[in-house]
Amino acid sequence: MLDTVRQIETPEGVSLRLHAAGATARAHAWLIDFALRALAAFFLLAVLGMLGSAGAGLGMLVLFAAFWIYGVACEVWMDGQTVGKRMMNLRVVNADGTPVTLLPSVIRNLLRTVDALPGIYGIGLVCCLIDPYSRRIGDIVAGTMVIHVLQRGALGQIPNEPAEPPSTPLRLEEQEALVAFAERGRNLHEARQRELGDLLEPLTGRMGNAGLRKLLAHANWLLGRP
Amino acid sequence: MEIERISVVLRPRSTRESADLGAAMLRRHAQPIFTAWFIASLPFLAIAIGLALWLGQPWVSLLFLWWLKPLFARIPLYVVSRAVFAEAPGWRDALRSMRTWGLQGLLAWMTIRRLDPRRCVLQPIVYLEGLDRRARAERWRVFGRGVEGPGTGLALTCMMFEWVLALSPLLFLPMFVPAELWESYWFNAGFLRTMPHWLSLPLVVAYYLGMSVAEPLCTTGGFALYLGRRTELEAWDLDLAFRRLRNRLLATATTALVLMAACFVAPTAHAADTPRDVKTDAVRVSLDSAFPAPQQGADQRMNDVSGKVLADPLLGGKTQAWRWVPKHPAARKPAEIVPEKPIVPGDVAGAGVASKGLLIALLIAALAWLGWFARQRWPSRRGEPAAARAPVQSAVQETDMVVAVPKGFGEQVHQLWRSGSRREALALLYRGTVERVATRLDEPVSPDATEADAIAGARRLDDDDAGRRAIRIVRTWQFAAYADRYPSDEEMAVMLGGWPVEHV
Repeated sequence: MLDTVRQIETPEGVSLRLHAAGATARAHAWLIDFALRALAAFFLLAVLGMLGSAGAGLGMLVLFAAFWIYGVACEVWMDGQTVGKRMMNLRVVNADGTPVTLLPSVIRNLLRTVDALPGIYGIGLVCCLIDPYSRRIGDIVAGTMVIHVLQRGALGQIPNEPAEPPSTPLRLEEQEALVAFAERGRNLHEARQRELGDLLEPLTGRMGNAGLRKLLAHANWLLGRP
Repeated sequence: MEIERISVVLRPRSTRESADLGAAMLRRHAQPIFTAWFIASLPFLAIAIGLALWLGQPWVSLLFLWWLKPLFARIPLYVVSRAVFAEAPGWRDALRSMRTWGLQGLLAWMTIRRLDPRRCVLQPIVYLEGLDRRARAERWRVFGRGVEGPGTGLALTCMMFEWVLALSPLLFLPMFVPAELWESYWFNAGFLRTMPHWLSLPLVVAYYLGMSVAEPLCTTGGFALYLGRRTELEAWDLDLAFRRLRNRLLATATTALVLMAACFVAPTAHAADTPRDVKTDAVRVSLDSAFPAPQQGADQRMNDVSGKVLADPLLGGKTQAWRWVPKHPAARKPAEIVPEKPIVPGDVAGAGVASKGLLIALLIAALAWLGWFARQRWPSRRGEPAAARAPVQSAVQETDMVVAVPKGFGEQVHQLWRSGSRREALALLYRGTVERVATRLDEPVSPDATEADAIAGARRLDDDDAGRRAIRIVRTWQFAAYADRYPSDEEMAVMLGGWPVEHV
């Protein structure tokens, strides 16, 4: 089965799922960051330009910081997210899912020079398209990856219905499917809802709208509602 | 369409993640896609190069290649759409699709809708759903709501990628131009003003290569957006999960029926078969029959599973290491002795002078430091040692202290106070007070009692006035001991008059 998720099992048996972010999302985040840094550097340099050669020296420092320090500082202190990554809901993490630390962050940002060759990120893009987890060379060397930060939907949207336990015990993925159906069912076409509900006739023993209500009751029971 | 046969993980994805899934599908099926792509498009590249050479205008060729993109885009779409629901087709099938899909939709894509950036998500509807134009427009109205924006964004991003990939090889060229040639070649030849004729060829080829990556990426990304939108609209993932659950429930129901039937039938059958009065022999149990020796390969499933577990790299399975080995290992030649080239003084003159200067400077610095050390810090010359080691004036003067408090300690306190040992005087006064308080309370003096204990004791005295006096003495002692604050002579006289100094 094809997916972009990297699954990691911890020694405690917890499986972590890292949703690897691909080239397009990362390119957008980079463009945002680049625009921000360019704007900031432009205004600072305009001000510093009035100060003569001392201002030019300070300007060099500003450019240095924008190029080399911005990424590391943001990743280490802003939870693995530069401003662009935060806007695109991306995050840098270590390959084992732990938050990125100073050394990997420094390495992946130093190797930006390689990825950026020949000045327009050609190598980084090719590497990103080839790698199964869309890592550029800096990520591979530093042992990091960029992942999507998932937004969880609220469970509160599930309509209330007096809870009723299902007639047979269900497996975990089946329970998840029932709850997801209760969550998303209302967005579906009515005929489609009934069609899906009728598939579970062996579980509910009903067809049509009665079956749908029964499924909702099961979902409410699974969520621990009264 | 059979959802059970789907080969990608269906789950609700954000549009960004869907685009990533498109890239993953392209990676997975790269071989048939790119084989068919290059076979189909290389003749057109030849035409484009011919155009560039004939007209001398590279942009005509670029426009020509760009114009043909919708034609080639059908190859990745065909491969990916078939691969998702069935077996991945080979490149021959993909090429055949160019014919079987015919001109349906293609004319519009290449003329009036050539500039439509939503093509990547519209393509699957046109080619895969086979609707007529009216139904298609109707469907797009519902379907397009969630994917129009992301599809446009994907197309624009892929256009950017296309130019990054196309320009990268061209930008590598100037990196290999030696610096001394740089000025004369690039500027004096007027390179920046008029592009040399020969560069149009690499430009066309580079654009073609960039397009060959970006267009399949855009197409598969658009298809993934299409899949994601259909999953959202029709809950394909739930459909799949429900079908599995249904199959499981039906299967268990059948098994239960069979089991029940077996339960009812089996005892009656046995009752009929077995003669009642025949005793069966007692079963002989031996160690071997109870614990049969494990046979090699007896439990195939266990072996499979354990083999898989052991192959896990975390448990130290096999690892593959690749390294270069010479095909024809040459016999080791005796190293030729090359006469060393004498260093001509002119070669490294600058570096030599600089390092010589540095060394001389270091030597001077070292000598200067030695001289300073000899003058200032040499142990025998360190000035007057007595002054250097003058002891810090201490507030505590060593006096012969009598630990026990004498009976009439007031006189002694007076003496000490007048002789200037104020701290000792107050200490004695404090100790005397503590003893007097203890005598009044008829309690022994605890050796580890603190000032706080002394104050607490003074508060327990029946005589309030005596208590206040004792507390005042303790506080005065504390100010002296911890803060170096001494009372004036008058205050001292007040404390020494009356209880506890003058009477018990």
